[in-house]
Amino acid sequence: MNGLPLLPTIIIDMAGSMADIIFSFLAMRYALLLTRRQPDNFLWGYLFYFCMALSAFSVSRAAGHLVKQFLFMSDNGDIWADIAPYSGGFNTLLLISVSAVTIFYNKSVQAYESIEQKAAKLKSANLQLEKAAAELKELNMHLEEKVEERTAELSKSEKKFRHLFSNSKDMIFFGDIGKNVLEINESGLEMLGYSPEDAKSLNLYQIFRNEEDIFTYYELLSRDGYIKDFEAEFQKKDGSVIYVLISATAIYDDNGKMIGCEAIAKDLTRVKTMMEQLVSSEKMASVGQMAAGVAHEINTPLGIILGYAQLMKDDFDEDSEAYQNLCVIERQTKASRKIVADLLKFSRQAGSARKDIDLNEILSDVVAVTEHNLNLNHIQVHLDLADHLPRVIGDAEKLRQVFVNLINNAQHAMEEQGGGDLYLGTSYDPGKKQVITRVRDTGHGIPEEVKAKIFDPFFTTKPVGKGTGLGLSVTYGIIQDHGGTIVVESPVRNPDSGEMMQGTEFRILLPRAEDTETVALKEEGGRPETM
Amino acid sequence: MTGRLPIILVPLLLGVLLGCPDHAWALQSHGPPEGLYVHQMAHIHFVLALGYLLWDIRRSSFTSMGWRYLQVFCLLMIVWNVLAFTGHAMGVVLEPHHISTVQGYFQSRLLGPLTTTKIIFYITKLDHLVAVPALFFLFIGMRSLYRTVIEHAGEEKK
Repeated sequence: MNGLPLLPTIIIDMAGSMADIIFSFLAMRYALLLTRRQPDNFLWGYLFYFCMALSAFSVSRAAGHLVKQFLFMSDNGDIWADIAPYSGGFNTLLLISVSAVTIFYNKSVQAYESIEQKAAKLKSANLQLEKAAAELKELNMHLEEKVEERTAELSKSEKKFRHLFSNSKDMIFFGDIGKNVLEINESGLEMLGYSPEDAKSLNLYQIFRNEEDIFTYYELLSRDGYIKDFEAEFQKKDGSVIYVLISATAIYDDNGKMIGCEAIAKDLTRVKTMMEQLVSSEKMASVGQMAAGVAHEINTPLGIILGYAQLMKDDFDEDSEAYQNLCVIERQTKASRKIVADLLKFSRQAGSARKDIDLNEILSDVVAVTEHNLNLNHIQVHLDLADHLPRVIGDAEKLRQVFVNLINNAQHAMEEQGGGDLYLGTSYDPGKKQVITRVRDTGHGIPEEVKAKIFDPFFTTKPVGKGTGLGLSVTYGIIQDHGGTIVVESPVRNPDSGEMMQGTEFRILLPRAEDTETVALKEEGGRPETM
Repeated sequence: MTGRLPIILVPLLLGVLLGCPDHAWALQSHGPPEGLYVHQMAHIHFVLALGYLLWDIRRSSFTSMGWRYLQVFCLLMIVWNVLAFTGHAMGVVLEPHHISTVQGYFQSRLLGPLTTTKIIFYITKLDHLVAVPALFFLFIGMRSLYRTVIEHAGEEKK
């Protein structure tokens, strides 16, 4: 018997049908798990529908095959003939369904890819955002640190410059274009005699003595942007003047327009005074040397002239004209010799007798001699002598001459106004260990331009014939000889109220007796001071 | 003018159809071979759909093992469709007397002499040898995809 047995195909068909159902359902189960795990994933949705359609097809086909096998096994093949069209039709329907679902894979993938791309973009954007946020956070943290660091630096710098501004011994001020003072340091206010309250309304017109200087100051600033060593005179609140050296810089706004200035002003008053005193001292020293030389040269012929004139007087009668002429020669020669003697005193070449003296006593003696004459000129003398005044070493006669000279000058200063007050007094400055004698009048005072010349020999403001111009020169020479200092102040500041009073005050400062030897060694140091 | 055209044409067409009842244009009758043709066309359709799916998966550049298993499934299912299509065709060619069931269903035989048609018919009767592996690959493919998703979820949590 040839042919092929169909039993293997029957067995494989039945077993395969069951295996188909099992595997297709297992596949559908995992597809279902996928969709549950990621419900938004289009691709899993597609695979689930695909598996479901395939399972349905497998069930339909396998069921058909199994039923067929069982019917044939039970010899009921005719029943299968009735069922077969339905089973086949159903298989065909599901086969088409599976095919139809399969075709939609592409659309599912497209949707999936589109969503994935958007998700990836979103994820990427999110990552970038997170990165940017982290960078921003780090930057912010660093920024805070930077700001703190810069603030600390700024604070330190501000403190440093504030300290410089506040503690500078020179005047530092800021001005605006309207010539108002915006800010000024304490030294500046002190220099000008203003209080911190005054500073709020201070302007440069109040500070600068000359208005022209303000205009020059601003002109130079706007032209060059800075000013170096600009000399000017500042007026203090009380009206007194100080000399300053200004260095300033212009301040500009963002558009380069000048909006103000910052300036440092150094008080040169003391330096200027010292320079003037030095010049005066040098001048006096040279004049003194010249005067001494001239005096020596003239003194000898004057002595001879005087000697001969006195001898010749013996040869003539007292009533004769020649005798009278010789008397005139003798008198004028003596006057000339006095001038020569004064010159020698000025140049400190005249001899002197030093001893321990009391200035109160000497001043009282001088007042006693001159008071009557002063009273006649309606001058009231006020004598204020200090008790327990230390004694000084000096020539009593010469010091009397000093006081007489000063009182004469005071009297002369008050003559025009028909009288006044003359204050004489002594005091002791324990700090400087100096005995001070004051001679103050209420006269017309000494003009500023004359102050520097009053100690010059032959300088006088008196009419011709009324003074030789040697009084203060001699006074200066004598005080210098005593290792002292003479100070002139005109007008005079009231030590109590600080107000300026009309008149002139001469202060003679002499070392006390105990210190004289020491001072003598520094004799060259004493110079006249004018205030 | 064009908007009025259907209003004129539709009644005209209905009138022609109702006026000529000699030709049965209303319904088409379906003869016995039509079911087989439809089924065979469904197989072709399924082959084309599977081919398209295979091509699309490869184009999609999905590289995980699950997608590779799905590609194998597609290939095997295409082969199965070819077998099934051929089997159906051979079933038509083969005459009922070529199979003997005289000794019972389990003793059924494909009678000789064995021709190419008969051998092909016999082979196509064993189509489950391809269909079962195909569905097995579908199963392991889906399982692999699921496991991959689980692993990714675990990694993201970390």
